[in-house]
Amino acid sequence: MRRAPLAAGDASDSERIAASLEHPESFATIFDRHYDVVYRYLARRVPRAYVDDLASMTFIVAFERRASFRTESDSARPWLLGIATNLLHEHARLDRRERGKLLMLGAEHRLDGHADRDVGRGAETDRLADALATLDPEQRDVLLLHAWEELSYEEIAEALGAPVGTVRSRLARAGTHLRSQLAKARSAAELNPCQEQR
Amino acid sequence: MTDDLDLLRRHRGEPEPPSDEIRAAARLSLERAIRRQTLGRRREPQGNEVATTFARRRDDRTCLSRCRDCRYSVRSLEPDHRTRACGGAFAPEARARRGSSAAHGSRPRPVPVHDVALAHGVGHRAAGRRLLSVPGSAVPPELDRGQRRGRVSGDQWTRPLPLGARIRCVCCGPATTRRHERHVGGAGMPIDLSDSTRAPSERPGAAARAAAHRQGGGRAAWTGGGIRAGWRPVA
Repeated sequence: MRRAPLAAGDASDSERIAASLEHPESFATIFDRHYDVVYRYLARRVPRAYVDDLASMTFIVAFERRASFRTESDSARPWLLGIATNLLHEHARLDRRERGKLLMLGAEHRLDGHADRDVGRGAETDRLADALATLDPEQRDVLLLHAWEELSYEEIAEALGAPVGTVRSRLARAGTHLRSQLAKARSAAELNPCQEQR
Repeated sequence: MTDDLDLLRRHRGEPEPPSDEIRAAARLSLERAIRRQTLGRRREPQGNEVATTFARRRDDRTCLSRCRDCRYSVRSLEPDHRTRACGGAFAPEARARRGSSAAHGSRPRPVPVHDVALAHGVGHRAAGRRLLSVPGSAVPPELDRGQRRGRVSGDQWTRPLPLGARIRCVCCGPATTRRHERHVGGAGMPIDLSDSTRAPSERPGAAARAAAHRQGGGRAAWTGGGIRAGWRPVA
């Protein structure tokens, strides 16, 4: 006997996804709930030209793989961000010419939220972007999901399909690497302040 | 580590939220994926539904199946055709790239069934069945399956009849009635009045018309059945 589709507002993500196995149209609610989050996450990580397609593709892939969603997770947000991250890497692999652009993390947006675009602040942003670009991609994913999307270790583990211990160690390594890169960049800037004000 | 995270968070930036148009296009893509899966669950069509099966098998490889996905909404279809899908076969720049008719004006522009569906206010399948290509038409080779003899499946590309073409309704004969106007109207097709002086049995297409009437209710068997009229080019 087929169950009736659940009403949009009264079910958790996992319930909606479970229902969508029988009633595919139920999955549209997941889109309505999480599209903005996924879009903003991608917008912080890739140039704007790629964001629309990747965000759209994220939900299509999620729909096709919804049977693999772990129903014990209430929110689909980590799962969707994990799919978006995988698509992001897949896109970079497919088109290596764009790799350089993908490494410009948030380059188009990094100043968007800051009214005080003074030289010092811009330089700090540049240093940070450069340091992030030198990170191992797996470490970068963990770091950005934690810092920007505010996912817990467990949620990152779910998103990336990695054990929690691995997430912790990647995050620690990423922090160490980032710290050392920033320290190097700052000391270089102190030695050559003219270059800093380019 | 906390300092690093704080630094990262301070530089997180707040990208612009997606516009309504972008959101709608993304949702449409998802809805199409959902619809494809829903369609895939249906039983295999039989008999005169073969044309539909054919279209579904070509899914994702031609514009037409995308149009079928979008059903009656051309506007919602356009962004998809411009950006991805089948490479934008209907987009002006794609036509120019391929050097086809719209760019050069040398060949008639292939028209998807959904254009006619909109013009006639009918579904895509019915629109495909109503249309016939004419001799020398620019039907893509992979779809050219006998329609030059006046047969058409529900999913074939075709083109509007050229201005001045002599056409008739295989169901009701000479193009002199309001019925023809209704069938033709909106699609930009001309109405042929030249045969109105001849007796029905002497008019081209009389055999097909008679066969159609023998099927009962004016249904034309060669169209796959299920509709009351179709257009037939007069050689």
